[in-house]
Amino acid sequence: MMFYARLSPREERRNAVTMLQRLPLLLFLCASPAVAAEGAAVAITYESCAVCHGGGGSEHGIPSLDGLGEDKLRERMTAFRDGTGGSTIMHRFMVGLDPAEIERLARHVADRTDAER
Amino acid sequence: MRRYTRRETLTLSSAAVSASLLARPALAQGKGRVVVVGGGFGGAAAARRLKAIAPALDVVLVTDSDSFSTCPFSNLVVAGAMPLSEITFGYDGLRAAGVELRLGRVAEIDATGRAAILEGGDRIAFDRAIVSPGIDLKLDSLPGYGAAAVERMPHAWKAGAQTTLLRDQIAAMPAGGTFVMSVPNNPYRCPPGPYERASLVAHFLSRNNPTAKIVIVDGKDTFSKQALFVEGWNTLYPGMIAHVPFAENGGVLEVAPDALEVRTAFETFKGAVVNVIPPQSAAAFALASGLAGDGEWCPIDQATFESAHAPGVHVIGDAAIVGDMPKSGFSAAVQGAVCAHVVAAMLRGEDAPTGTLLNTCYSFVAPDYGISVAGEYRVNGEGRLKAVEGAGGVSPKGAGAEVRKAEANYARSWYANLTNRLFG
Repeated sequence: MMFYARLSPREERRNAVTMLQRLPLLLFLCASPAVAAEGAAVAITYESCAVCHGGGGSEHGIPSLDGLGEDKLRERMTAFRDGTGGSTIMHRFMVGLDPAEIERLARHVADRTDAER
Repeated sequence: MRRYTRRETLTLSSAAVSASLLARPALAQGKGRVVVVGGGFGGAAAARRLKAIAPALDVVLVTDSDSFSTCPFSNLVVAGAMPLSEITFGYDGLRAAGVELRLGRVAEIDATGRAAILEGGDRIAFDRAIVSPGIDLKLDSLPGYGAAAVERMPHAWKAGAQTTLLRDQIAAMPAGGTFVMSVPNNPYRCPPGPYERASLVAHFLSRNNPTAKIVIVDGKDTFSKQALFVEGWNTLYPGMIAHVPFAENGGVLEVAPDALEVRTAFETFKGAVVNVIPPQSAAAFALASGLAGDGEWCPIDQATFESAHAPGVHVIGDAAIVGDMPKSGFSAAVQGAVCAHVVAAMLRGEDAPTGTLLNTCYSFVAPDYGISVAGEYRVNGEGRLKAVEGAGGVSPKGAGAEVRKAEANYARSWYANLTNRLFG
């Protein structure tokens, strides 16, 4: 394992430890069809989000999701789900998702690549 | 400590899957040709998303016109609130994204021979096809109507020259004239569309021809977002719009273009301008290709959109029977994007992914007064794309002007974002 420059010794240690900690879980999850299906499902679900939120945003009000971190996305979606988000429509969708789905969706939106955008 | 994320695992696990498939060269590299038929919301979404997520695939989009005028927002054109040019899009964005455009009319999909056959005989071979042909209007199913009558009594249910024709007829309507609309029973493209049209025409008339009337002769008793529409009509256009449900007209027996009459079992309605929205079916070539079996709409596997009658051919949008999802541009765009993932996975030899699908139908009761109906859909145990209970639903009744204004703004934002994503 090679680390590039400008990582502090502390960061290096943390990265190395994290990698080691992940290994058993990685081996387990690589063989798990359920996780692959969840990942695929969230990419499918996001396509509906993008019909409103994709396309670069506009002056009229539907916010772009770019640049919002996973935490912020999860907080907003959870608030919509709880009916405290102050929305015209988002609460009608989020109420149909469970917290685990919201968590996966937030992670997907935060981490999505250009091709997934 | 930073926790491992599932996404990172997924990247690794999909790399492992890809490696295991390298023994099958063409599939592993994601090569193959997908023919997408239809240049509307469904076809554009399918082609563009497929090229983005599986760049090695050849994606050919067959469309019969080099531009597309959208049905969403076309009622604003009818009401003179925006020009047709603002709802008309070309395909340069798709070309730039790597989609091969082929101008032509498809005569038949040959599922057995895996080819789309164009009028004129050219064959375009495919590994899989995504067909998003939209509707055909059954002009001859209404006695007295037909191709010769559409100039006199426009349908304006496919956006384009018909849209501006109806706009011009309404603008030229004599003072105090009646605008009569004949609306079919379900199923048809855009369930709330006729009522949005009545609303926006009322908006125009209330400013330009305030003693005019609108009569909706309906082939059904109730309609989408009815309570919200009626609330808006009573507030904004009191006394201008009359809705005559099926129970009170008994059904349209014939239309008389020369007399500008809609004749029902119980009554004849005479208009100064008459808009006939005829019954509809899946596009003719889809029927000719057997994609609808003995019916008029195309049954599919609702998890994969693969035709029940033609293996390797996926049908999306208004032409397909997609469980509880309505025939809307939003639904077609969602289905196109989801179908792109499905087809990419199938061509890699993987299982088709499934997830949650959404729809929103915004309607304008006035240019600054929007209402919506939303739905959330998942494939259930019987393979049906079923509305999720407790989710979705309509805008609140009795909401203030600021809520209606916000939804009108969101409708415009949705339209700008989606058309930019697909055609920009």
